[in-house]
Amino acid sequence: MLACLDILLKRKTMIKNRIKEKRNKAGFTQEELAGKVGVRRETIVFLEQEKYNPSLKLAMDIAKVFKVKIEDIFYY
Amino acid sequence: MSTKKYQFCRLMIIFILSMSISISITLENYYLPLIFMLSAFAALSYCRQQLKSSAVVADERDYKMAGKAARYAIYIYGWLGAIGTFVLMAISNKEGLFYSLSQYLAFSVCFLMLLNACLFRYFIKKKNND
Repeated sequence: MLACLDILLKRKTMIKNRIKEKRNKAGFTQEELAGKVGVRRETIVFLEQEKYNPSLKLAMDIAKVFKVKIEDIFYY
Repeated sequence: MSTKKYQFCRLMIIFILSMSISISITLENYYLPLIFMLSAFAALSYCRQQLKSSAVVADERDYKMAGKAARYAIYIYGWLGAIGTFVLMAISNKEGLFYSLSQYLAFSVCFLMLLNACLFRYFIKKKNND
């Protein structure tokens, strides 16, 4: 029961990002970016709304698409 | 086939399969579910082949959510099963339906917990886990 409460009460620190800004600059649609990094469009939506922390691999793939360093897109 | 169409087809196949299995069990025919399951598997494979190779059906977020849902399901089933076992044992005599039900609940909860612990140990020791 304590484990359930722990999960329910745990507040996750969300990583901020500049994906939307970079995507608009590069002229990609969400669908196109999703296709390039191999995820569903909904995942890009959640990332842009900062409601989902990506895995390190996904973060690196996104940085690779925009040809920038990972820390230029994702920050705390 | 687009991803949306594939997801709709998958949902329909699962819906028809569950309906068919329920009807087969009601009719007391236990071979039909097996045939239906194989047919559904073939239909799903066919749909998957028709899907564009570049289309992403599930990604890391889906897997993460699936893991979370499974964890909650185990917690809820474990707690409800344990409480249900004690309640049913308390109100049953030694040979009634409630007693059998309590035994079933107790063993299924124990099996689930054991399986969960074994799989956890296995995945935590596995080096190359995705």
